[in-house]
Amino acid sequence: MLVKELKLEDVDPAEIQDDDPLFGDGLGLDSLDAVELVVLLQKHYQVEIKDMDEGRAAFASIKSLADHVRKHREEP
Amino acid sequence: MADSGEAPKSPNYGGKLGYGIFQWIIRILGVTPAYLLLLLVVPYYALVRASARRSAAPYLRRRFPEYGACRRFLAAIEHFYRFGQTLIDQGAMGILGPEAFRIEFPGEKGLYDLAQKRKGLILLTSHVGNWQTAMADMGRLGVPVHFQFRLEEHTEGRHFFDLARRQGEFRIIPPNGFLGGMVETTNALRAGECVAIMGDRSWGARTARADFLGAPAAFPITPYHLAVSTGADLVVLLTARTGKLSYTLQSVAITEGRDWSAIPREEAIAELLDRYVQCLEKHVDAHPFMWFNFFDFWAEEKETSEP
Repeated sequence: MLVKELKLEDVDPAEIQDDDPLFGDGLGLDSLDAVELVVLLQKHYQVEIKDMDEGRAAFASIKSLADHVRKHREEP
Repeated sequence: MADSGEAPKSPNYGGKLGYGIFQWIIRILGVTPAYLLLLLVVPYYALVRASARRSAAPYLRRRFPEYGACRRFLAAIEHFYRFGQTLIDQGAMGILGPEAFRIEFPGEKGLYDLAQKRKGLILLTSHVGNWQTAMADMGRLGVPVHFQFRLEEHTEGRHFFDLARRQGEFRIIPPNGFLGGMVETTNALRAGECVAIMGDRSWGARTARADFLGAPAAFPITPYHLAVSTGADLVVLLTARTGKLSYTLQSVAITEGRDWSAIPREEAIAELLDRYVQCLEKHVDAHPFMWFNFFDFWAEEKETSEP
């Protein structure tokens, strides 16, 4: 979903490691991609990134983002 | 589209002593004596401070290409004077309060109606006129207002926000925070709130070049990206000084009339940027000395200042 929605043309989804950072090194996303991520998470999973602190933890890597989605989707 | 690199570096206008003297005069004697003192200060900057003249030259050359060196020097004096008046007015806004000002805003009802749609509203401000005046009026929109603003950059010059203790009315989102404050900004817009962003400062975010006064200049694309991604309305706010403590405020809803989600993102961003730059050009055409970006706005890597 990330590769398709963020139009990461140079990234092969099969090559993405769970611990790859999303921003900077790793997938190389920037602040405008963060806008897309926040919108996508709300649209597809009804999950919010409430603030900067939550964003810092959730956006650390693919794994932490997946964990964040899993955790908040399970909440009633 | 490019990344503009490091965030702008902010110089200090006048220093603590200079600001202190002007603030004292405004408090004790009012703004007119402050304007008179300015008449003594401006020639010093124009005659003695070559760096000040250099900072104004790129804009004046583009705005007045027909001027020779002598007329451009006189234009620089007027430019500095209008800038000084604006700084004094910013101080007066903090010290005397917005109620001391006469602000004409013909588009206020339309802007209020847009805010009340609760689909998110981006206010695109610029370093023209007195953006603090524009923000003073935004407390009446009936929705929470956030402002992308580097507070620490405005040391002695941050009259509006600290002297009037108006921060309670606005939530500051620092653009130099985590991911440029985009998490908070996106959440605010998705919640139907209002976010004010500078259209002429990138603070390290991605930029695109658009023709402004006859040559390409780099502008941040963040506001347009936000509008397209969140579906928020985007309104350009421009101010001009019309007299003593008197300003006019103009708003242009540049997202009106098109479904931006139906066209390719890059095309939408380019079109919206173009609409903003057209607004800016019309404004500096009508108010040539209300442009307060004192650096080479057309340079590849901007050395910016922060009035």
